Order: sequence, then C-alpha cells, then structure tokens
Amino acid sequence: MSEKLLTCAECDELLLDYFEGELDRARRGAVEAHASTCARCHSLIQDVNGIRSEAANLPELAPSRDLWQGIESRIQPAVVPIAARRTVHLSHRLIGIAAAALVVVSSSITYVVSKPSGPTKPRRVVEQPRDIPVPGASDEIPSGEQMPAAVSQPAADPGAETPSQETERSAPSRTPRVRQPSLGGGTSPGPRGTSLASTAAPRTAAESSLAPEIEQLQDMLQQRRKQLDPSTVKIVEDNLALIDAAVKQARAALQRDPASGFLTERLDEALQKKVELLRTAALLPSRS
Amino acid sequence: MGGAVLTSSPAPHDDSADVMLAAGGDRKAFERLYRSHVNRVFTLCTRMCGSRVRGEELTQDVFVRAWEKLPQFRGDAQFSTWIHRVAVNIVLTDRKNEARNRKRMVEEEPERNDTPLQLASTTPGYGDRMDIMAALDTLPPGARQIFVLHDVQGYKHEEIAEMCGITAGGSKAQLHRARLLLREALTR
Repeated sequence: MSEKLLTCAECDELLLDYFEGELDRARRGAVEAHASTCARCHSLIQDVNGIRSEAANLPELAPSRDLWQGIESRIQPAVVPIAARRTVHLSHRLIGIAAAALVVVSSSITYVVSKPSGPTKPRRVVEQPRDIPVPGASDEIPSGEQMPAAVSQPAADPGAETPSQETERSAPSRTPRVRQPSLGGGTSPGPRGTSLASTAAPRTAAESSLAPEIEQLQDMLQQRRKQLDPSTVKIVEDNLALIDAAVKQARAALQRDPASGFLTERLDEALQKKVELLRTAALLPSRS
Repeated sequence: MGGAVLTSSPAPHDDSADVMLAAGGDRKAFERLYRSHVNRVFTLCTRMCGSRVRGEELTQDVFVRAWEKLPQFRGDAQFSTWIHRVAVNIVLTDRKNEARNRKRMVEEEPERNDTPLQLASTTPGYGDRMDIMAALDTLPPGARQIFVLHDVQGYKHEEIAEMCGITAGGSKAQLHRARLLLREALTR
C-alpha cells in the first residue's frame, strides 16, 4: 500500500482513523505521502489539526451575571440563622410539641386499629395459642406500656457501607437505621438484629426512599454531636425517640394489617417527620 | 488532549474541606465551590448548547443538582471532575428533552438556516474570518456536543459514547463530521 500513492477518495476514507491516530504505520505513511503531493488533502489535514489545536486552547468563558442568587434560592433546605439562638430554642419547643402530638395521634390510631375487632380476622385470633410467639408480636406495644424507642438495623443489613458509598441504585434496599446511643436514635435500644423490616411487613415506598437520607442525616448529626449544645442534643434525642416510638407502633400495626393504606400513611408521616427533624437538627449552628 | 479544560486552567486549590462542609448543608461552603468552578461549568454548558443565555440557565441547574447530589459524592475523584461530569449530564439531558423525536444524534440535521455558514465570503483560508467559537455555533447540536466533549474538553470516545448513549464508532464519525463542518465554516 505504501508503494502506491492514494487517491483523494482513498485518503478521505482513512482520515478519520488518521486523526484518531489509529492507522498502522504503513497506512499512515500512505496518507502523509499523498498529502505531500496533494494540495487539497494537505490543506485539509493542516486545517483539521489547526482546529483541534485551537479547540483545546479555547479560553474560559464567564457568565454575564452572578448566578449564585438564582442557585441559592433553589437549594434546600433553608439554613437556620446563626444569630437567632432564641429562635432556635423556640424551634426545638415547636418540634417537641409536633413530635409529641404525632405520637399521641399515632398511638391512638394504632390502638384503635390494632384492637381485636372480631369480624375482621377471627380465625387468626382463635388459632394462635397465647404461648406461641407470633411473628412481629414483640413489636406490639399495647397503649399504656412504655414504648421502645428505636428502629434497629436488620441483622444482614447491607448498610455496612458508609453513607458516602451510597448510590441511588442501592437506596431502595436500605432500611432506616438508628445507632445507639446517638443523636440519630432513640433512648432504649431494642435487641440488636431485631429489625422491623425483618418481619413479614413489606417496606413502604416512603420508607425505601427516606431510608438513605435518614441514615446520612444521622451520621451527620453523630459527627456534629460535640459541636452542639448538650441541652440541644438532649432535646433532639428525646424528640427522635418519640418519633421512633411512633414509627415502631405504626410498623407493628402494619404487620397485623399490611394492606391498610391508613396505617401506611401514618408510618410514612412519622418517617417524614423524622427526616424533617433530622434535617433541621443537622443545620443547627454550633455552640458558640 | 485529555482533559483540555481541566488541565488548561490554573491548578485547582484543595476543595475537600468545602466539599465536606457543603455536603453537610453549609451553603457558604457551597458558594465558595460555586465561585471556584462557575466559569468552567459555564464554559462547558455554553459551548455544548451553543447559547450563552441557555448556558447560564444550565449552569444554575448544574449547581442545584450538585447540591442535591453532594452527599453522594464519594471523593474518589476531584470535585472539579465530578461537577464537570454533572454538567455534561445536565446538558445532554437537556438536549434529549429538547429533541425527543431524535433518537440518534448521528442522524441530526442542522437546525438553523440562518447560520453564518450562509454568509458570503470569497477568499478561502482557515482562520481568516470566523473564529472557532463562532463556527461552533454553526454545527448541528449533536456534532457540536461531541466536538466539544472530545476536542475541547478532552473526553475519550468511549466516555462520550457512554454519556451520549451511542457507540464509540458513532462518536468518532460524528467528531470527524464536526471537524469538517467547522473547517467549512472557517474557510468560507
């Protein structure tokens, strides 16, 4: 091939690979030999090389205006003003009240829904001896008893990876995790490996979508624990414990009645509340 | 030619502290990241989409998306590389949304008839009249994006193929076509 000069058409066919540096030595030599005798192809190769060189050295551009304000207005969540410490304490009280209200409502609903109601599931009630543990029965909390606080990690939780290793693809397989004792968790840890998700009740869509964020926020809070005022930490922990208890109650009720849209909504609401509290707490200013 | 923009800019300062703070919700830290990287992101967006106005809008989208995704940034690449990739994805998605009916960029035709390609010129000679930035605007969107990604930004054909959902061979062909169109625009 190198013995015979190429035609322009043959040269054109090789140019793509020529510019990519993918021609073998013989064909590359043939292209260059042709270009040395052909003004058209010589000019074309020179021009394209010039374009490549110029493109690689194009100057950086700058926007005609400051885009930050537009960006700032779109990013969430809002930052708690650092100067307004009184406002922060007020926010804590409001959060506490909201969480307590949520627990009361959730407890009442759970009690009403989980109360044996005869006609709905008579055979199950009759067939289950009292001394045989019912799956998920340990999660049931009759109203009036002390409420366990934490949602614990499943025994085989793949969430051994760090939050930074999380991806959107892996998110749906994660479960809410609370570390004990920590800002992210309740006050009385349940038995390790006992997972609400390990029982028969399926995870709700909101649970799956919120789990990664909850975990990340909990990690973030754990890292910031020493930066926060101890009284603030206490308030956050107490509120989280209340919400976790509500989550657990809703979960337990959902195990008995997995098809209940009402209970699913209550569970999702409680989880949403938890995310909101964690978000707010994650942005609290460091103690001065 | 790899990483043309990334390497032609001044050495990036260490962003890691600001990245960590921003991932934790610190907007001031994120603003510092924005200030450090806005020009590079804007340059990429503008060159890929061919419009400064749209480039500014896309730049905002890039930083909003970066804020949302920052907690997932693993730190195994530089922040500049990561946000660059976010920007590419934003622009490509924008392009897909804009041209839903076009499934293959290699089949695209020029969208405008009033481009500088139609401007009369009698004397040939590369670089004499239109500069390459103006000539870029004359390219069909698909060809422009691949030219910008390869010859300006320094991505490899395999990376471009992955990002654009085409083959590496398609990327090469599109690039060659873009270069020839640019030459034509520049020598008219």
